[in-house]
Amino acid sequence: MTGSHWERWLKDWLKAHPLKGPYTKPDPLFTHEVMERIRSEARQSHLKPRWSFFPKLAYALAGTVAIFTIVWWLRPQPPIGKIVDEIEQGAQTIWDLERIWAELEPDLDFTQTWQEYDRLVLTEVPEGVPSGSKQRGFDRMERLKDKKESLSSSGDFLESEGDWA
Amino acid sequence: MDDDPSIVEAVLNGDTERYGDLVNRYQLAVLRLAFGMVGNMEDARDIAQEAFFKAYRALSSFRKEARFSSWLYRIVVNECRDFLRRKSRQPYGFSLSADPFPNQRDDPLNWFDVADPAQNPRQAAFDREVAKRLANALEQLSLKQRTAFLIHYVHGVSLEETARILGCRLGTAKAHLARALERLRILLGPLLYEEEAP
Repeated sequence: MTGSHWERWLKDWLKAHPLKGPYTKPDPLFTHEVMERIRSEARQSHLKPRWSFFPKLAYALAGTVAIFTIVWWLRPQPPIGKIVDEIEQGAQTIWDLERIWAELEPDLDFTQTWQEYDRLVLTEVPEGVPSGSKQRGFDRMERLKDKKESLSSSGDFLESEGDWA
Repeated sequence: MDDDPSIVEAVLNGDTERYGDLVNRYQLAVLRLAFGMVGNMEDARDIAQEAFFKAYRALSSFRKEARFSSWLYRIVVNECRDFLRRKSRQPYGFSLSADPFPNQRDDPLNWFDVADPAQNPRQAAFDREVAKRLANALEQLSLKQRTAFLIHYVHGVSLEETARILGCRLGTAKAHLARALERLRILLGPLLYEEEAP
């Protein structure tokens, strides 16, 4: 029997003798069991809270806000520690002292200059500046004062005026 | 009697009880397909119930242009595959000696409907022998070959629909069927030659 002949024969045979297995007619109990399960599921779904659009939207918005809050809270912080260190080291204060020094009239009498400098430093240095920074400013002033005195004695003061600026 | 899409629409519109009409209509086909795949009456019943239940839950995804029977068969086939995978076992097969359903012990040939009082005794004996050998031969097919054979030849589903149910290409489905046919032809061949000989 060839392939096509065999296929045709088998089809005809199966048509005349269908595979029925152990089932001969629909079983009402089977249908009842399936439907009972479906009814049970339907009852449970009625008990569950129904999701409508607006509660979903509210939950979505709340979730978004929560996520943004967490992201904002965890965002990279500025290097506060570094800024604090720099302030403590007096870097900002030294810059202020340089600015104050530059504002002084270079042709003032040195004593007047010193007094003016002292006044400005005392009044303009903000609170909380470490005493070490102030001290460095005063030390520099002292060094310039010594230098001026030594230059005055040698008559070479005018040539080193650039140090005042 | 309403057609399948009408019943599906009624169920989706809230008339849950109408689903019972679909269960009644396809109960035997689903049971036989599941039985053919797993070879055990009790398991086939559980699988068929689960398939109907899952079909109900997924009813909104059923496209009306498709055939409900094909859509349902695909669920059944997937359920059987999952069942066999879960149990990590091969199908029981059609072995008559394995006695898959004790209540049917006295009439093991009821797999195929060979009872025809009008037949002459010689033809009846031949059909009974074919039924017996065919049942044993089906046991020796791979699951894919057997599934393809059951869907196309036993349930009369078209080749295209068979491929869709199996979740494979048309060519692949044809290959499964061709191998199944060849295997069955070899296993049943001697009997057929005996029949042709006289």
